[in-house]
Amino acid sequence: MDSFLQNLISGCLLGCIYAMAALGFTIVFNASRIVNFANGEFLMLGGVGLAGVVVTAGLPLWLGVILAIACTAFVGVLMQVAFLNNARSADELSLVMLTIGTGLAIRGAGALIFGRSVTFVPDFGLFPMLLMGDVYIVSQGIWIALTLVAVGIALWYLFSRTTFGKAMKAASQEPRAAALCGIEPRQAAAAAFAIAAGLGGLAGALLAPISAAFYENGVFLGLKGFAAAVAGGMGNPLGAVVGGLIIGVVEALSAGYVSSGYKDGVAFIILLLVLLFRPQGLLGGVSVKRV
Amino acid sequence: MKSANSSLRRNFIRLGLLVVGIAVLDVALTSQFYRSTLTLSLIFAIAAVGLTLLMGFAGQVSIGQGAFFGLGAYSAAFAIQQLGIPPLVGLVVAAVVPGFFGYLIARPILRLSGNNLALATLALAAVFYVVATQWSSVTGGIDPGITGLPALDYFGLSHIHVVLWLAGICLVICTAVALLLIDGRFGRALMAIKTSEVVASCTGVDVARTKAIAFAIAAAYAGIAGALFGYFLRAFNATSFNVGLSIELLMMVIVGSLSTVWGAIFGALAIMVLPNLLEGFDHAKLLVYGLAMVAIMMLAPNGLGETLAKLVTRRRVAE
Repeated sequence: MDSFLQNLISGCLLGCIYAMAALGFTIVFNASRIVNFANGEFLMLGGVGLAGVVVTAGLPLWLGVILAIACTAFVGVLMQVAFLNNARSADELSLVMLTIGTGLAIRGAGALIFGRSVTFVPDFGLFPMLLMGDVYIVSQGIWIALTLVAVGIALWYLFSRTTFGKAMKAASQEPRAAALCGIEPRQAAAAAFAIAAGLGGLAGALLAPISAAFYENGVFLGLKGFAAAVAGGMGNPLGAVVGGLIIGVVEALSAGYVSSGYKDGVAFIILLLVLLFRPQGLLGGVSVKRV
Repeated sequence: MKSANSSLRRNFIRLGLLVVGIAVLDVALTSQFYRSTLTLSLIFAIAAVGLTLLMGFAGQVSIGQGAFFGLGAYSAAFAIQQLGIPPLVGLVVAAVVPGFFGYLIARPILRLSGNNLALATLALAAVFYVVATQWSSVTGGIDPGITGLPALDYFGLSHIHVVLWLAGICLVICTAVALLLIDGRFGRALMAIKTSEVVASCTGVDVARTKAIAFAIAAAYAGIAGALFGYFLRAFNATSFNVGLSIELLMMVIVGSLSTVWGAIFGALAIMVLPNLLEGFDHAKLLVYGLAMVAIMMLAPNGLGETLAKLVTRRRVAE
């Protein structure tokens, strides 16, 4: 029973990371209808960047986290402004390819700048490890869970209470009408990329003390973020969080009870099954497809 | 009709030139290193031709070809080592197993389109990679992987010569089949599907079946390429079939052309040869690949080879 609870908790913590990846993916999709295959690389960049700043350069941890988030957000905006903006007339396939290409370039740049070694980052500290009977939560886990809650509240406030967030929503729902009201859809898309990338950087930085930072981490993290976003219903922020938690828990339970080697495959099988049988997501309602 | 036939004839003349080109290169290349680069280009070109059929003609993106490539490599190795089947027959196994598997999953997976199809095929590649690393009793996992495949030294020729020609012959046959398919009813059905599935089905095309067959052919081609890849190296492990392989195959099509099979051959050659020619390129390989892919998609979304070819012919016409 205790090992079940322990697995459940570690699954939830990983799930929080996947949820943040899925949120970034959802925000970009909502703002620009682009499925950003480079989203996982933002997480990679956050982790590797933090490792570079803290372990290699020896700067304090809080500065490292801020730098990691800022750099990743900058890369996200750059990607939107320099690449995607100039190919907006292109079809879905070209855009997918563009994001894949950007992802490769980010991975390559990460390997060049921060090296190809696996780096461990010290955990954020401050909180003690929580012990409840035989079940424990590591201190970094508390950071992760609290961050997801804070991020969730901040995003909810941004998109439903501020003019800026409402303008972004308007630009994604009805770009022409929004443009007539003085909202620039490209700026809205750039803002979405900044938020998504910054969030990815934050998630990557939070993950770095638990699982080491490595330049190839982005591929699987990105795919698991996709799996979470698709499982929760594409474009639904609450669904992204729930989807992330589901993926994390199922993964941890399968690692505990089936085989730890296959745990990476579980998320992708969920992604495939949801795409095939419930493309509207586990939480989504039935959508009518018109020809 | 006449023009279609003459374009087919022109394509078969090009195919003849390809054979002559391989023969000339085989004689002219003195370094073992360049010869193995050429062999790898020919091998990857087979998979890229299949992907062009699926992506360029039917308009169905797949970022999961690496799974079929790996499936081909493992089924050929299994056939040779566990069942005692000769390597040449092993190639047939490597075409049939991925082709059959591709056909099976094509129907459900090709109901998706665009973004979702790209995601699903990418997930397929990732699942395959995880299974290949973990199912050690069959695949050998990462360490040791598959080892000890036989040297192919038929007719007193060395292993690399035989594999080079085997890859060349397979490429020519696969390209010829692709050209014949494109020229006929099937190819027109594919192009109709790319334009509009609704229109295609209204004109009597069985959309689901045609797409599934195209997917199966692309899978079979990738499987043949995978088997040849295994034969060539004689030992390989699961890391060869990671998600990067699928993206590399996709890049070959993009670098070449989305609308002719020749682009795939050009693309495979470019992707395999360029990194070897630029020395000290290895550490920046990913970055250059990524930026090249971005540049091509922004500036020449129909494929680099095709855009260059059009520029050349336009200039010639202008003169």
